[in-house]
Amino acid sequence: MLLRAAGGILVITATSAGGILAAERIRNQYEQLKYLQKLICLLRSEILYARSYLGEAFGRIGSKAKSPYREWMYELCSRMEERTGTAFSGIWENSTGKCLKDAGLPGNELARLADLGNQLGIADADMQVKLLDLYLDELSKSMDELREGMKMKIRLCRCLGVMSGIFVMILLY
Amino acid sequence: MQNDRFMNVLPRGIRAAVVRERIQYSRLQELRLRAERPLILIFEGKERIVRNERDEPYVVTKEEVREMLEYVSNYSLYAYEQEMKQGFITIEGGHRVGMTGQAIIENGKVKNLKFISSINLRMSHEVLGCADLIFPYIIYKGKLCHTLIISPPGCGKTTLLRDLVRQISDGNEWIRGMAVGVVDERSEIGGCYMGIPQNQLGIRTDVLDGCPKAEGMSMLIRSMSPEVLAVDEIGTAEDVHAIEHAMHCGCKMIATAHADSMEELRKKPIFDRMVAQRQFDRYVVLKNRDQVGQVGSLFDSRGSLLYRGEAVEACC
Repeated sequence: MLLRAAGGILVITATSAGGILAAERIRNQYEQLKYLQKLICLLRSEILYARSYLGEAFGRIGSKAKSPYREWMYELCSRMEERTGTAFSGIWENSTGKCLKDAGLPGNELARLADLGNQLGIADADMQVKLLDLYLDELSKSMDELREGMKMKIRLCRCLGVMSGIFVMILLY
Repeated sequence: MQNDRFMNVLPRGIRAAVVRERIQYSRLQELRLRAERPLILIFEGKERIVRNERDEPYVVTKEEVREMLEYVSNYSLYAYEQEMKQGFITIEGGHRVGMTGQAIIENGKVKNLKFISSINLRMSHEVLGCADLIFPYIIYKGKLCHTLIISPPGCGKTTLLRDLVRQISDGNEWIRGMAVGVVDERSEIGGCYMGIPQNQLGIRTDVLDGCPKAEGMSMLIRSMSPEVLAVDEIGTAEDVHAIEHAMHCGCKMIATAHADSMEELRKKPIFDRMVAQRQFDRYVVLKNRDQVGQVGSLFDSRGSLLYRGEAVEACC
């Protein structure tokens, strides 16, 4: 009997932990988007106020950024320094895929971020800032959508974790 | 090595082709890329068509022009918007990358360039000591004279100005070391890279990089109190006005201007007035393209000849 009870508690604990992890993943996605928003804002101000070129801006932002964004920025810098003939959009896309694939960003946002490279480095500074503003707006909308459903999803994940544990326990007994 | 830093901005194929030429980079003057045309370099004053591995002329592709543009602008053309309006970008080492394409006009002025099809990489060379010859003439009673260097493009105005700045700043047998302020609008004098001059400008030199001359001179006077101010290629009324202001503030002025001779210079109204008012004490006219920074003649404020090939009696 004691063994059964212990087993039951273990099953419920395990499924609850799974639920909590899933909830944390959702919360983390939002946190990652928030951090990405901050980095793009920094890039925008580097371009707007300091007219820094991209490598310079990435180096400066990367020195203050947390992992894996730091590695992403440094990767961009070093790939730009290599001058192997790859266009900037290619460098951006490859580095983004390589360094941020496990950062916890939602898949569609990662794809949109990889696409941003096509719009960087153009000849008009005003247009460059406007394009970054547009990206930030879209990012902000995604964050709003994510935030709206987030509380419910987190609660759902937690509940499902516990409930599935109880369900499994009922089935076993 | 500073001489081969320009290689970083060349597309890979062209980089390899230039290496195959086995030339001394310090004597390379220009490299001309034109889309769908052979790659040409100017070496020791002579034109040379670069060959590929099959010993045929190396033809530059549109893709290579685009690649070079990305390297020159560090993948950030927006950061060079002002330079693009003038048609050139100065890169690390002070080398000048000129370009042509289709001009974008806004309100009657060039806003930018697009469809860039030709690139001319003009090498910057430091010739240490090229100003030695003129020092006896631009120092009077131990004091530096306001000096204007005159020459057509490509004769070494900037090279001479750079060496003058270096020697005035460090001090030499003619003059004690003085604080020099340089307004380097096109980053050609100091060849600044991220704010640090790559060329030797002396230990007492402050460089204001990428700043319009007229504004820069006022800023330097207010912020760094220089004893000497140096600017390259003056030509607008604002420049002349700022120079007059600097002279009245007690700064000694070293400047350069485009002209073939003193007569040619006086044909431009703003310079004619300056010469008539004897604002500059010395005029250094450079000779020709044979040797960079070679002095043709030197005049005082009244237009009296002080030097032509051989020295004439110096006076103020």
